Amino acid sequence: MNARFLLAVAVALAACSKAPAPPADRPAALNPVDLGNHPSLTPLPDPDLQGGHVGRAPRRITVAQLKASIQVTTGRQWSQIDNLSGSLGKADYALINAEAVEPNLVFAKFLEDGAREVCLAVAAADLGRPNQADRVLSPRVSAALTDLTKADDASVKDNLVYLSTRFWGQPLASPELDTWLATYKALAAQTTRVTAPAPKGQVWGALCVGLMTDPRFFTY
Amino acid sequence: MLRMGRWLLVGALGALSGSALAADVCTAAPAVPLERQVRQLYLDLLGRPPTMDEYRFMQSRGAITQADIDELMSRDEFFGRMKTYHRALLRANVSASVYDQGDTRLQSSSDGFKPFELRGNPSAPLRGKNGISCDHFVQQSDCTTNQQDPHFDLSPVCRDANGVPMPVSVDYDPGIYQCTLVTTAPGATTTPADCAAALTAGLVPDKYRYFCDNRRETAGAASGQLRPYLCLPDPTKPTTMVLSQEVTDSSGRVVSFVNPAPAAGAVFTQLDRCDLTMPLKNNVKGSYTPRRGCMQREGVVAAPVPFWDKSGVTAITSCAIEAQARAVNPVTMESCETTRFTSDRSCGCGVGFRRCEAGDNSVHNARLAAINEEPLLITDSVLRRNEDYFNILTTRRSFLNSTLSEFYREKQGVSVWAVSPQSSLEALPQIDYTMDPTQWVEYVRDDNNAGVLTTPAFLYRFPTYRSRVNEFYGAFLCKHFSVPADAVVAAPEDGCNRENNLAKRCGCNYCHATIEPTGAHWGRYGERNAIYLDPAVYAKYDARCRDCALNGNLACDGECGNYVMQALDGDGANSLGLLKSYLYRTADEEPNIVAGPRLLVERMLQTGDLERCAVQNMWQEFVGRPMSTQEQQLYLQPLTTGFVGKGRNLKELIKLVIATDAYRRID
Repeated sequence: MNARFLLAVAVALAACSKAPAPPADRPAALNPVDLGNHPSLTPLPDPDLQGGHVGRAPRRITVAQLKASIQVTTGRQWSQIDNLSGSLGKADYALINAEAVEPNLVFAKFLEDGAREVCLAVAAADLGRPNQADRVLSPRVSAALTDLTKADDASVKDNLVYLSTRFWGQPLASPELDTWLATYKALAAQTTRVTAPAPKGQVWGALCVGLMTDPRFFTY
Repeated sequence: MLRMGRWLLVGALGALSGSALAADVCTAAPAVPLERQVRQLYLDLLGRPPTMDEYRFMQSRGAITQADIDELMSRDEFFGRMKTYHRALLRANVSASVYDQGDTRLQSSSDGFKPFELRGNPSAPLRGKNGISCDHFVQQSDCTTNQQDPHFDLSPVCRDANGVPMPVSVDYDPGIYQCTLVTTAPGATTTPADCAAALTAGLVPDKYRYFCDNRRETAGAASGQLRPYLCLPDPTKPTTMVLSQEVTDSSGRVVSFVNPAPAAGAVFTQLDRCDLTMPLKNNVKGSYTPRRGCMQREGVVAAPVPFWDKSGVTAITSCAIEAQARAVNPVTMESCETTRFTSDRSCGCGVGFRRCEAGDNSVHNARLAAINEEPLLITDSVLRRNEDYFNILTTRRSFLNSTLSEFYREKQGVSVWAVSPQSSLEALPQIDYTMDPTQWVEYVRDDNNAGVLTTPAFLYRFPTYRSRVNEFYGAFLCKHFSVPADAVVAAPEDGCNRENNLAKRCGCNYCHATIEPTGAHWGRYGERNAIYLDPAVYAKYDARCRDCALNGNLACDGECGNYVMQALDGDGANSLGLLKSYLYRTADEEPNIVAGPRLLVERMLQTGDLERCAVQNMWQEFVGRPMSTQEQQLYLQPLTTGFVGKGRNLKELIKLVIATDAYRRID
């Protein structure tokens, strides 16, 4: 075990360009490590030799992945996604040979349009589902709740963790979770000032828009 | 050595993992949490994020196992994802490579007998003007009894001696003539019933009897009705205003307008009255051309339904020319199975309108979709059967749906497509056009075929030998042609600058010394088309083409388009009559032409370049960036060895790549 640990430390130092300078009275050299003979060790490249990259490059999802993501996370489809696919970066391989996966302003603008369309429709549909478990955006919050400001923090947080996992694959945790809870409360408070039934459903719809336009949704 | 085994939550690897520790020390690439790993894997392998049930399943397990990955890679979604990858790799979309000018799209009409018809460019050589169609109101067989202009004193002939439909009605071309509506009095809005009435009432001078034209209105309150017009050479146009001299017949009626003093090169020297006869084109019997300034329309006939019609009707009405089904012009014996059928009055659209297309573009779109899909089905079949990945470049197996089956067997779409079937017609699966085009049937192509490299999608998408080489090198060898940094530019006076052979021309030879002999592997396929130049039909050397070339007949009746017909240098002079792909090829390079693309693939397999490039492509696809130089030093050979050791199975290679530390960390 000791030898293995030392070996690991040696590799770590070799891979790290910011290793502490050796003492002046000793030559700056590491003991050679025979990586090939180690049964379970993967050599790592030096990040400084490749622009800081050693892992997978995060990237924006493609238009096809976006389409599938919207369908999987909300159960609905954005009606304009095929019409806008060229603007969103989809390649046709006839005139445009490479899929554009830059999270540029055009993509952000259209995605926000799509998120508004899909999320508000899902939220409105949720209102018509009396069974809590059937709801897409608020399955962890009581369906019988008429005053959204009365929702207990624990169930709202539970629902936010559920949604963040569903939309991002990253469960929300404090302190960010508290920020989202505060956003929920602010939105819920808005509903008490409006008598029309629509705003009640739009609370979770608005949070859905926030989740869908977050980089964690459209990158991976 | 790469770690392959279980996918574990990286944080749980603990201090025993040297790589994890290294990451902790440097904090350059944090480990990816489980849910994010799951999402990453699903998006990469299936093209979609996981459902909540799938997240819960993985959370309950606490780790992603190799069995989980195997299960993901057995789903149809994974194979769909791989088709998407190969669509990008092969750029499998020929929609911009094939020019469908719409000349053969059969349009429907809504008046008279409502015939199907070709409008647009083909109308000019058939009827005298672009965009006009047949006479929707006259049946071809009624041409003698149902005349539009009986005052013309004509004796119509419905068909010539060979059954070719002749015009049943004629109008003066408003682009050349100025046609004025004849009214009952100057400034009045009422018109006489027809030209006969106008002539009787003296509203049109009798000398212009043959230029009084009963024309069918196409708009307004009188739409669909015939009304009399007096048509005379347009006095406002320089080309026709000079036709000032009237030529009369023995009755004193004008039969022609003549330019009395034509200048050299004048466009019009004479315009004759319109009638229902058709002049011969270049005085060749059986070859007709419309009379100048006249729109000569044939009538309509009943015809069998087009092959694409799934409505269940048994017959349609069609313009008489389009309804014909001759294989050749009955007099000149020129083929109707080429683009020229649109301008030959005797050809027509063929049996079941096979040479033409549906007016709504559905036939063309179906062909595009089928041709684009074929190479992807080849790659899909190799992956699903866990075959050697490079079978995608060598297999004779391919797939056919109803669209392509009829397309090849019925020789459809000859004016748009230049595609030869990839096997003999007898060997092609027979699938009726009415069958679902999403159903594909596997078949074995002739032995000259090599995977995706000889599919129409590849040949059309990369239309020249050079572009085919460029795509092969880029997609499958990860190599790109560029002049080296230390390239030497020859002096302008150096003779090598004038070398026609690019493999030798200085500067060009840096790339073309490789491109030209490599491109010869496609030497038995045409350029800018997808036709296989079968040695039984296209011999390496054609003495007739050489004789034509020596006699200056470069067209050689259109039969020598694939042969060297012009000599630009000594090599060219020695190559007259040779297939073009043999020009400048050495004896060592000629076997490339004979063996085709499969030989190229086999050679590249010997070098190992194909395997290394496949590894780099998969790295790029899943890690999201190219392999760095150091990563190539560390990982390329082990991954390649692993790939080869697994029988070059692409799924196994993907497993190797997603098991690397690089994939499991995020920058």
